[in-house]
Amino acid sequence: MDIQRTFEASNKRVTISVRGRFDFALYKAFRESYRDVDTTVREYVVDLRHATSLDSAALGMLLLLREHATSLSATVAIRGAIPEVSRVLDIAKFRSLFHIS
Amino acid sequence: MMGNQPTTVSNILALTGIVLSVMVTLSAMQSGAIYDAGMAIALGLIIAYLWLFVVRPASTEHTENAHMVAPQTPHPSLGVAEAFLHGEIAVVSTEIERVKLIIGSAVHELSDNFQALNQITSRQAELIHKNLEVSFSGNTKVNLGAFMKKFASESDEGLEQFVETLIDVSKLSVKTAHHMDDMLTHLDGIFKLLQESRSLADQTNLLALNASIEAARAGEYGRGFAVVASEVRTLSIRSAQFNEQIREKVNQTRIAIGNVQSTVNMMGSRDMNNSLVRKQRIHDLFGQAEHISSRFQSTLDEISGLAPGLERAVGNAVRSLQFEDMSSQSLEVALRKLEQTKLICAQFSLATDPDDLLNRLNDVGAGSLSAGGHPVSQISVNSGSVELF
Repeated sequence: MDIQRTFEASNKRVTISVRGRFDFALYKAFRESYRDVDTTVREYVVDLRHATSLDSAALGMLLLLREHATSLSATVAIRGAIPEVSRVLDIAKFRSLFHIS
Repeated sequence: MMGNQPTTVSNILALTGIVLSVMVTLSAMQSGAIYDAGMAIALGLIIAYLWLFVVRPASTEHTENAHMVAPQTPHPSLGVAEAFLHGEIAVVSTEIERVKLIIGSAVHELSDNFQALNQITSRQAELIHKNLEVSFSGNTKVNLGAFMKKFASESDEGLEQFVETLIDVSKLSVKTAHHMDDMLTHLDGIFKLLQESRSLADQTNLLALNASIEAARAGEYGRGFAVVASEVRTLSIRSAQFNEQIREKVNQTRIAIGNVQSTVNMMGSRDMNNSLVRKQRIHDLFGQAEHISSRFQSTLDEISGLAPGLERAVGNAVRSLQFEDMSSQSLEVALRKLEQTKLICAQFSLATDPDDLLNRLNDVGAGSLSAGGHPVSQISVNSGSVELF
């Protein structure tokens, strides 16, 4: 699977790991990774350590995750992006919308 | 024979004195000191006078005594000297007039050119200051550098807006894909229901078949029931046909949704790296344009900063043209002094003896030659100031 989800019930955190190209092909799996989890979740973490590229559809998916998280009063953090992916996040001005580290 | 020789010698010496004085005059004029020329002429005259009336009478005394002849008419050499000096004075006067004319026309031309230079300079400054200002958005005027800066920043904003729109479109595409997925899920539900309704039709068909068998067994009594059973069977078959038609339609809808999915996919997927590279390139180009225009602007500012210096230099040059006034006054004095000298020369041929000549010279005021007042006390033109004419 290109998308893996882990749920830490103790600190109500959902971690979504993306592997390979993060593009439109993953839209279904990505939504499923966050849609049906416990509504008490406080934080979503998108782990991009193994993501090799990011297209505009992926940016759209991240924005939809943010909308979903906001409706649950949860936050979204993006972690481990490689420089090439990080540059795309910069041009999209995502640093003002997400906690990126 | 004995007395003739000194007379000839003294005449030659007198002429030499006059010639020397004229040469000194001319050379003095060339060096620009007209007053020295007047002085030189006076010096020459004095030398001539001394030779003719002091040296010569002494050397010819015994001859005059022997002949006992008193000189009642002027000596012919004096007439020659006078004519000679007149000629020289005329030449010097003509030259002075010529110099006056040359200086006058040159100064006029210089003045015209300086005026033109001044106009060109101010026009240049005006062009730099006014015409290179750019009207931005039709109201405030800015210079080229500021315009480029604003242009670059507005273009950057436009590009950012473009990227924002692109991401927004992608987000909506993904959202549409999600809705399509939801639709497909509903269609799957419809399929399940259709399957159930199909099995109901099949069961009804089987039931009707059983009923018609039972009706046949009942014989004459079951005839009416057999007709009902056959009708029920027909209905079940029609229901199965409808079910099949609906399945087909739902399948077509699935295919259509699949097509929409792929279109939405194409709509929402944009390689951001491409946009990123382009945006960066445009940003860099604007940065360069801004740099070039700001360098251009600073050069223009430097050029316009030179204008006051140029104006000052032209002003100084025009002020220096005062020399025409001063030199023409000096030349006027020189001409007046030459007229005076002519008058003095005339006395040579009119005098009957040295005493008479001395009296005549005193009368015409030879003494004032050297005491002539300087017309322009100013030596340098630097100390005055003058308006552009």
